[in-house]
Amino acid sequence: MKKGLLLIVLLAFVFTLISCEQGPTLRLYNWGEYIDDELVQAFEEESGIRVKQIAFDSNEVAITQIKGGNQYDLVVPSDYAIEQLAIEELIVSIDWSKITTFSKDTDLADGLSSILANVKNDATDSFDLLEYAVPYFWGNVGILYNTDTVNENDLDGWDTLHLSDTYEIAFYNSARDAFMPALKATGALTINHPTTAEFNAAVTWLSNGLTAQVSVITDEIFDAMLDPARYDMAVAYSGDANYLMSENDKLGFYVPEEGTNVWMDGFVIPKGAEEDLSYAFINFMMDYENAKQNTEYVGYSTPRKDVFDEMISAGGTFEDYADSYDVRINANDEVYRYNEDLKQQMDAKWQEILANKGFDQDEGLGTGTLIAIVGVGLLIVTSAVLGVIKKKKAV
Amino acid sequence: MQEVIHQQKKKRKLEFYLGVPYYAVLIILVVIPIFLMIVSSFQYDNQSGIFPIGFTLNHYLDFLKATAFVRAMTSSLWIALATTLVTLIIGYPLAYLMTKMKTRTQITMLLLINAPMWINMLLRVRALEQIMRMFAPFLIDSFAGVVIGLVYVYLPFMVLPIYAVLSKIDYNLLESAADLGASKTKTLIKVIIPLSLSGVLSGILMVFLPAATTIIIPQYLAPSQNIYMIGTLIEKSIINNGRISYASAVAIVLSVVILGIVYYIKKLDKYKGVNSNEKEVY
Amino acid sequence: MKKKSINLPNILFLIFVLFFIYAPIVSIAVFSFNEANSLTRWSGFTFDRYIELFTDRELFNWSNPRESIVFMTLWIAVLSTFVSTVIGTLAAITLTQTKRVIRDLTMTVNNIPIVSPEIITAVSLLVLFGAMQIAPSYNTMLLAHIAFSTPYVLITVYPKVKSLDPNIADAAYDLGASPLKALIKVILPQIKVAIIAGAAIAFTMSFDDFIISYFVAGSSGDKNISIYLYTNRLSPKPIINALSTIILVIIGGKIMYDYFKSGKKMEELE
Repeated sequence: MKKGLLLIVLLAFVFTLISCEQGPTLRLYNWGEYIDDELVQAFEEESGIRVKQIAFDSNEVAITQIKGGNQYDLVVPSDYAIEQLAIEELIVSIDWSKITTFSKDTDLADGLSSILANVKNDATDSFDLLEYAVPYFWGNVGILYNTDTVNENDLDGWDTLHLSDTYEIAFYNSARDAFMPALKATGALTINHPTTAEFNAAVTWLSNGLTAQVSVITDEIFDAMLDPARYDMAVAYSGDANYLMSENDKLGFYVPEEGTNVWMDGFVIPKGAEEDLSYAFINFMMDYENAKQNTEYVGYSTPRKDVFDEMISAGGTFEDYADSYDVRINANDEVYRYNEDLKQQMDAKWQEILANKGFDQDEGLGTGTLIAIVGVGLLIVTSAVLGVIKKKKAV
Repeated sequence: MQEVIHQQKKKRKLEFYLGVPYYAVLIILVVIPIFLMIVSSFQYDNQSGIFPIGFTLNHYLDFLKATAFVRAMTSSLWIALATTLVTLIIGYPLAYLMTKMKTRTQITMLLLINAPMWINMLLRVRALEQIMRMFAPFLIDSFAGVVIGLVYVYLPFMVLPIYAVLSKIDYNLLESAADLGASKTKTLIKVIIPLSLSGVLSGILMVFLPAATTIIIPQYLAPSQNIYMIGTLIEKSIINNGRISYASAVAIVLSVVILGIVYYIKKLDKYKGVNSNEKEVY
Repeated sequence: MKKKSINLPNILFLIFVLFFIYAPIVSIAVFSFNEANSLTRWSGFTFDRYIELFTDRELFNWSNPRESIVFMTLWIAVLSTFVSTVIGTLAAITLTQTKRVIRDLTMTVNNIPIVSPEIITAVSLLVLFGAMQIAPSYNTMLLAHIAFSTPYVLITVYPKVKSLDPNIADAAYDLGASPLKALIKVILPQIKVAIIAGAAIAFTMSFDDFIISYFVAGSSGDKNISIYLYTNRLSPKPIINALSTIILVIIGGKIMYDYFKSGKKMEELE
């Protein structure tokens, strides 16, 4: 018994010793599977800076964690999240003089420039993403479909996703990526400030679309759309589409004319970060060779113009998928903006829609539910009453 | 005499100090959190800090008004009920058979049933999911699939308490029943089942509660969100949406419902301690 | 005692149940040796998965254990077991000397985390850490594990302490032992078995814990094995099968050990 205690104390010492001085460490908070680990290791060897990678799978989680006091040196959130972090003063402005391998004035890919300009020049709500972020990847959202099984004539706007009787369909399990198609399909003017009527129309659209046969997925898509593809159509990000199309040549990517969401993810530096380390890593990743390797591995569109043009030109890695790689902001495309109220509404409603999935809309509560409610209600009431009676008797 | 009193005082002091860490843990990590959770459920979301700022019934109202979520709660209860029934149907005969075996075999069976409980639940569910996808893909995303998954995980929790109680039944009772002319069936109904009741109720509680509040099983076996359980709502509200106060409100409604059910099940336990081999612990 | 013989339908029933329980577990073990990166199509026997498993930086970080999920899961289990066992045992001893009213109340409160559904305990702890502004991390995970392990230790050790003969402790005092010495040399050895049992329960509960750990630390990047399994459930990695099999083998070993030990006990009795 005593020996066991001694052993544990010894182990404690050993552990604390081991994990002590490690040299400078960069805490990188990024999406899962969104960077080439070989590059991370190369950076560690080249710079002597250790990289600790932590993953998140949604912007909301990332923001919650940053707010919750977790200190990171670099985070890679999406446009609207960058906006929120900036407004809430959780990140610092980017000092572009410290970015040596990339120039925001000359080196940006065209598609991305126009997206950034769109946000910056917005009449009512201007925001300069480049003030707070260094672009990392960008893209849009569309429908990845099986060219063998899907009749191209059926691809007609986001309503295509309602063809669950004919095709195996998969929605993306995130409030934003569910509401965006819904809002676009039901004709909302803007996805950032829908009116109550437009919002409700979108909710109805989603409820009708999410039948019991429809799947709701996130990362399963990587496995599911390989040959043979489990779904005929799946809502997908352009980068994932690029990757999947390169692995399965029976896939195509369709962006509905009603418009879609174009987005950008970028490096931001949280307040309190070891900024030297942050800039060192950014410079490393934005370097020509590394950016090229990263985009080839991950599949998303790179912000560097020279790499980008090379990728879609003849002989380039993404030559065949130029359409999905060269994301342009079309007339009806929009960038998501920071809107706290809308976000909360969408988040809550999305869970409700999921809970309603598979149930007949007009059914209301249904017999099973009512029986359960009545039964449990009776149990609670009578147990409370009996409890009180018992107490009175005991007195 | 002085010595003895001095010793007594030292003893009292020691015992007091011995208990302090425990009470610290109990109060700070058990009592206060529950209290805070209740307080939090009446606050607006995104409030931080210990002291309540606002008061709102919004979370409760939002939850109760949403038929989808109320339905999620009741369907969770139905799933738990189905699970409990199936585990009872399989578990009771299983426990009964075990008591009939040779002692060595009983121990073996006990270990075999017990062993999976020590294996990480996620591993077991994943294993089951793989098998289901291979041999019975129609079970995925269905009510039956979820119930099967829950039965798979919680069967030992039903078997063990029933076995514990059945194995303590004094065989003399059974013999006297037979002597008095009772048939096998009558003995079963009038003697064995009542005596094992406390074990059965124990098993019911140990299966029903976790089954109703699970988050793992529907996420693995019904990934297309067709079976939306109350645990899923709480999980998503916290992890995805960061709405802790809302989740607290849902958790409290869930607790009230469960308390009502548990209270009733405990009241059914009329035969507690009747069995001569049982010892009251407290 | 008359033991009825078991007839054929009963045996079939038993076999069916055991098959139902163990088929999935066996398939995991089998597929952990699969050549292909798939969990449904078998293509060949290989130890590759195990090599991948032990070199995986997330799970086993040999240069920095604090970054390794497996090590941290073990470490937190060890720490929380140690703390909760000590606290729980001491509490059990104290409670035998406490007034009945306080003791009953304490026991009732003690049972709350035991009978509550885990998700409720998880939410309450999350609210606590949020209110106290403690960021989610391995620290909160450790505190949470201590929170739910201690009650189990108490209910395991207390009955044993209660059943002790008080005369022995009194005899120790009479012979001049200080209360502390009496505690260590007299009481603890007698309840050793219960303490070990309690520690075993605490360890397993901590090592396998999912819901509470997930809520309290999950999204911070500080994961334990269960959280790792859950967050990777959508992108299946075959190294998980390898990890599962290793855990199975360890548990299996423990079961075998228990079996043979109890077998020996039976022989001693007979």
